[in-house]
Amino acid sequence: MKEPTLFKEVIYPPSVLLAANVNALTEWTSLCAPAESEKTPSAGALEIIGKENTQSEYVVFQALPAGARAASLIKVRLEKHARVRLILIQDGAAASHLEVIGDCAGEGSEFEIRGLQNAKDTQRHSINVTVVHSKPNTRSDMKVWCVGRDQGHSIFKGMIDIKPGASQVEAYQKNKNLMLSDKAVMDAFPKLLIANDEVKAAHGASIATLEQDQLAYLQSRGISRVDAEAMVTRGFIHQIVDDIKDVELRAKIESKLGLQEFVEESLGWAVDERGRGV
Amino acid sequence: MSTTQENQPQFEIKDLHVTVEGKEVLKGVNLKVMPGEVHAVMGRNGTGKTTLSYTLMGHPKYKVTQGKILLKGEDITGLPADERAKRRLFLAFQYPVAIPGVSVASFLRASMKSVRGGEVQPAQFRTLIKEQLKQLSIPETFMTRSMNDGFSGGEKKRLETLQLRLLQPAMCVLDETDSGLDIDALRIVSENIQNFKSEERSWLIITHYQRMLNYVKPDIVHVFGSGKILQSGGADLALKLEAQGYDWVAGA
Repeated sequence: MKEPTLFKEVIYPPSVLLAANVNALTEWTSLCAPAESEKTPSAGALEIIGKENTQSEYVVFQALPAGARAASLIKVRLEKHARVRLILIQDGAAASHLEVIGDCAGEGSEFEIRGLQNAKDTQRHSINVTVVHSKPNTRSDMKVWCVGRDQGHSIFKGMIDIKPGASQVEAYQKNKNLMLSDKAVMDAFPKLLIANDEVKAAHGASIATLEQDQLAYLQSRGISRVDAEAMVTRGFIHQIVDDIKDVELRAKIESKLGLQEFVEESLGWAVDERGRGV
Repeated sequence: MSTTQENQPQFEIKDLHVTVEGKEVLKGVNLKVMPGEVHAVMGRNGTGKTTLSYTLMGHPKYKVTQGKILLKGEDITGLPADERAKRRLFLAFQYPVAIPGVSVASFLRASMKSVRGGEVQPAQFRTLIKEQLKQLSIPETFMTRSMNDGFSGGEKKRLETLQLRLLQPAMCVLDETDSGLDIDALRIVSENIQNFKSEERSWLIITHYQRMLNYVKPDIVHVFGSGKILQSGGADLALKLEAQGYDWVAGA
């Protein structure tokens, strides 16, 4: 009998299958079916299989045209002792939705998810991330940072699902929302579903405006209020980008997000253990 | 009568009253610091010393309800913090805030550009920074870390001291820069402050202890209590406070 594909429940054509063993950047446009027009909804899917004893890093970058509407499904399956880091950035389009389902299906596997939403104008970005821990001794770490400007709408739904047989699991979920406009809307739904007592798990979400003490500190060093606000915001965004371990990938994303000038001062200094400064 | 350049105070506080969230904390502070002078402010916890330092720097949370702050004769009471910094007023914070995602290098370059005005050439910036890092025994990898994020107390204070030296202020306010430092760090930070003294640069050092004043000798010591200066004297006053505490000071 033919092995059923992992995409049997996926309704979005086409799908892209990647066997994990490398670091890679995927433009969202390559995930989605070509839209007939800018306003035609487009959809796509990506499957990542973290092969046994491999380490991979994937960046999915959504920079669709301003009027576009798109949805994508990303499935990640981690085999034994596989390590996958998935970075998801939603920047363009009028509306975008990401559905992410990760399964730590192999013992000792580790899954890191980093998400960044930049909702401006009247953009609507949503992301649902579910991480299933099917096997013992698995680990996941989810961080999704959202920026809400203008009348942007940002939605985060996170779920950690630890199955009964999955003992000694460590699973963390954090969602931070930076609200830069009183007309922006930010929704956060962090959830845990735990069916095993021998686990460590935590989740949390926060929604905040710019911190006055941070701005006051920067201003006390001669930086204007406007520049201080921009600097703190770029710092917030950069926390996620800085988690990209692959130096070349990180530089590409910094360039796409207009952070080059912001980070260039960090280049040329003695390198740290992360390869920063090369 | 006109004030001559020679006898004009570097920094002056006149009858300063400040409220924080509607409560009056400073109740008439008067202080005059001449160029090159070192003043120390000592006092019990909760008497308003940090409120004084934040107010001098222009933190918007602290509302001046009465009085003036003058820097080289100019009234800076209504100026935002960045304008005060450009006029070479510097506050070394007791608790410098973390700014995640903003690298030390990026922050320092932006700050230097703002305070000094105009472009700071990368080569010049690096030369200056490397020299200061060496002076303060700060590893170069600090430059790529996020500002104060995950720093120890000692690391934060060293970075404050580095900024102090880099920005070349005329008036330096140090808010408990000696707190949270081990003996070696205290020596390094204090020596860097001592070496940075000049005839043009004035100091207001807020501290609980004599230990920093062993390195940076004060010209005048003030006892702070109940939101104002209660008593002033020479360097011996700090030694007396260290030995006898504050009970003997009326109103402290």
